[in-house]
Amino acid sequence: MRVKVRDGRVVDVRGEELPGWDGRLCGKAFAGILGRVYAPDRILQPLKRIGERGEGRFIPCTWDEVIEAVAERLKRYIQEGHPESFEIWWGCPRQQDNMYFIHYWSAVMGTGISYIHGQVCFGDHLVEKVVTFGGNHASSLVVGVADLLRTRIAVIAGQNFPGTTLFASSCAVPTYALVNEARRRGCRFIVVDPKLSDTSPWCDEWIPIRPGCDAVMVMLMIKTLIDEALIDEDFLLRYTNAPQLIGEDGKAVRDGEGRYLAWDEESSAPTPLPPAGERGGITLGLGRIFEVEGVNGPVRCKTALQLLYEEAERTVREHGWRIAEIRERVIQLALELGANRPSVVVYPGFTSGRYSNWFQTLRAYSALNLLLGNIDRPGGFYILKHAYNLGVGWPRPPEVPDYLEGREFVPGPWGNLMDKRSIDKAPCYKTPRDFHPSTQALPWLHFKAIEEGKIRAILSTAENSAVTQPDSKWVWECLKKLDLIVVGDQLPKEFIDLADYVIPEASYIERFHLYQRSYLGVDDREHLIIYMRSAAIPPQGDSKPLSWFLIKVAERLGMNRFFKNLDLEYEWWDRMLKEAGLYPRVTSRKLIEEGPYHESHPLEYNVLFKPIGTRSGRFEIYSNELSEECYHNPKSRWFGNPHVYPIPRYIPIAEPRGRDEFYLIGGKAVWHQKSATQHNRALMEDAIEAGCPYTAIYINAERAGKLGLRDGDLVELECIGPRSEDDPCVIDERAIGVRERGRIRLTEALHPDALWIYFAAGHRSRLMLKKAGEGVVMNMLIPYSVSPYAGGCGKNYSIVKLRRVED
Amino acid sequence: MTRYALIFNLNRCVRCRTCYIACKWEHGIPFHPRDEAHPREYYRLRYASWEWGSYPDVRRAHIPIICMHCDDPICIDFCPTQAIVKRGDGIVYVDKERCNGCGVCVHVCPYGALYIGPDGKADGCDLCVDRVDSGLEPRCVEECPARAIIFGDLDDEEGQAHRLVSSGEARPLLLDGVKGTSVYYVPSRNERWDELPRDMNFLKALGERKRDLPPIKGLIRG
Repeated sequence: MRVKVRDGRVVDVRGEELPGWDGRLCGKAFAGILGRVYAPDRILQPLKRIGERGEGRFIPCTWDEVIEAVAERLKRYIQEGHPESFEIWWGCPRQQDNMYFIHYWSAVMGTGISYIHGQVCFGDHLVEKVVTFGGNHASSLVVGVADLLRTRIAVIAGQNFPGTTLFASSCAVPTYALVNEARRRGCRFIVVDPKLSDTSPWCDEWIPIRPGCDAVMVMLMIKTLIDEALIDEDFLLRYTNAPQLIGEDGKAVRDGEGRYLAWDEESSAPTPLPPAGERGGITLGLGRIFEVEGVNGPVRCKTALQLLYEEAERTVREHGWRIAEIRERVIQLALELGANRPSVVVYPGFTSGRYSNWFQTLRAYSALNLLLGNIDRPGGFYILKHAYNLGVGWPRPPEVPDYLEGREFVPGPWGNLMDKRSIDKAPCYKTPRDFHPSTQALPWLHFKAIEEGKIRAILSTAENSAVTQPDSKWVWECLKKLDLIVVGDQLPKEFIDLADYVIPEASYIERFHLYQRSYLGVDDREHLIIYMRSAAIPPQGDSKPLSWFLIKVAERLGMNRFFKNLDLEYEWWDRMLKEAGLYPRVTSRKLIEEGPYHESHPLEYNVLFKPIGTRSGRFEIYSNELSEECYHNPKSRWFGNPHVYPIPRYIPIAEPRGRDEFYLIGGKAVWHQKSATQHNRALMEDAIEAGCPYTAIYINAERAGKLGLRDGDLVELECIGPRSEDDPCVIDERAIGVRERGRIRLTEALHPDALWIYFAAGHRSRLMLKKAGEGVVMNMLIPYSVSPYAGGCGKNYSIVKLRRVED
Repeated sequence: MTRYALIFNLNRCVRCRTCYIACKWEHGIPFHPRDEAHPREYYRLRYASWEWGSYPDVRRAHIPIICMHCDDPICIDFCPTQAIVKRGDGIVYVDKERCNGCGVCVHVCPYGALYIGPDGKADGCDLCVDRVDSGLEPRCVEECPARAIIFGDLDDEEGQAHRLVSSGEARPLLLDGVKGTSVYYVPSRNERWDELPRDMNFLKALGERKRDLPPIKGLIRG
């Protein structure tokens, strides 16, 4: 984005002249300037709380006062030997001041740090992709990058498509161009969702599915494809572990050297599973039982594909009734997908549809795509091949004293480094692991640590845990126990209501950050851009970058030797460009003065451009990792847990039963900027007033009629589940019995069993826009649950009872 | 001769609301939630959103609404101060010097496309007349990330606007009493275009923002 500045004020904005953007922007770019940078309610000076926590009463104070308060607290924790009692919670990498610096600061000071938003966003989805496809292939697949210009059928589930799309691995502008061009070339887009969402009418067809039943639909497709011999046998034999032999006990069969086995047809004997890319004479073994000589005698076994088929058959037999309304269409669609393979994609959505069975549902979607052989094939999903390793930019001795000695750091979110002993990482590196190392954070452990007095102070930046974590009541109670809460932002939000001090952070166009992005263009090429956000205007009012504040705190604690010569505007980013081998051809100054660095490459279909990073070295229909770490590991806390069953499995979720009970589900709007949407009046104005109001509770018109409800009625929703007895993943039931009020909006475009609301539709902050007090805070009504191993905790479903109340 | 046309291609529109925000940005139209100080909204471009059919065979439609630049604008007939002007190229605009803010035009416009701005004067889409006169396209056209808005001269036989309109692919939205407009739509499968002037769901959506019209000040001519 380029901004035109006159007299220190932004007067116009333009997109970059890059393929896909061609000078254009989406509405959110304008709204960011109007509704954030120049918002009339922007926080422009430090504030100090004068009322009770939650009252939102503040008076202005000085930066020095906040610096002293934080330094004094941190000094005490350091003296007590527990600097980790102080934590930084951060959220959006793109709304965030230098995310690498805050990790460096945390490493130097010994404090805790958590990307606490990440896990309620995409953490469990990323884990699923790493488990199934390995780390080298996961990131493109998690956002659903697809070679859409050659795709014939694209099925997108649980996502407001094409509005909240990620298909190009890009922001909205190039993606709209790509999906429109794909459709012009004949691609059919089909959405699967309980709600016909805002932008989904752009698609060619809507398949309304009962909440939580995606895996039943996918299993029906899997069964159909196998029954009709429409699977890609060659792909399965070369690149997946579909032929892997699994014993009757459900465990992988291995040879004396510990190698996974397949069945060789020519020798009628087991053989080590060949390296990816080779198929030798092995078989998929459908409908067959093999006998392999084991240490303790013969072992009867089947292939992973056969086990998947049996699982699909059982699911359809026992649970097919749950999707009876769409059954015929699903079978037909499976036939169409099979006939058009591999130029088809079935994408489960990025973050929506997160029922408690979401991890296994994602596994089922992945297995379906593997049967279609559509990974890195023309018209299928595409694995982006080009990215630079930029590192984190942390300074090293002799630039700064050594601070890494005796410490072990492991990969953290977005390429950051984190202490292996930290709350988010320790459970991922013990034996056996409790959670996968790709989890973004383990938020509930932080809340429990607050309850136990182990975390005593929080600095929150670019996140809003007060309402963005499920079970907001529990979280709110935890936060109130803290000794000190400091919240930084540009705009009022709920967390600020709880803060002891509010710091006015410089906005994204008042500070510096380097980013890299790869994406597919409408010109049929893979593009890579590296760009700098720089201070186009000075920080408004008395606002400052968070990094400035953190350095001041460190100085107050006598730690300035680590920070005194740091140049966070240019040198930090040049250090990263050096790491990537781009410097001095590309420098931070050149990026600011001349615009983004850009390179483009022809598409290259090559599954094995990097090794497949799973335990078998192949894409895994049967997850050896889930088997060995969890399901078949008696030492694992997830031993025998169906959520980590190695073959994708449908797990029924808790259901509404009474005539006034519903699934409560939610999703995003196209103009959504996470929970920040409702803080931004430029985004919210039309949203509140237009024909699809943002704050309403949507209800199927016929269901409403049966309850005697009319459009605009005020109703109360009471959370009645899921309880831990219905769903063992539930770890806190404080949400049960919580009630929220809102007005209903009747619609035909919603499954009768569901109520639907927009993410972040309801807000509670007394400091926010007047209109924003309306609507339901969905997270108040969601009991906290955690998916085994994947750590998924950001659920967007619960069970509620609805009743009409008088105005 | 020049006859300008603006066309919304509803097959490409992804309902992202960029045109709404870009329009407000270009013309400095304030954003705010409605409150006592600002009882009505300010907009040159807004949306009508509605659905039809019954579950599960249901469609949702969403179309941008602006001043249609009618061939024979009823707002001109009713304006007591002759403040609304139609140019030879089809562009209709409000002459702020002449407008007395009476609000009659806001009431009579069948599309609900005009509003009284914070300056107390009527306002509506003028197809970014200043930009157009200096050789640029309207801002919504320039910004639409889905390239769903097309602007051009219908008399330019080589142009896309001419092709879309002359082929019948792009069609005007003709409500009762309106014979022709300079704004067109390429309908998608969602709208039931021919039935729109009588489609109660659509008319209700169109009228949703007329529910709190400003009071008419002064007398109405003849």
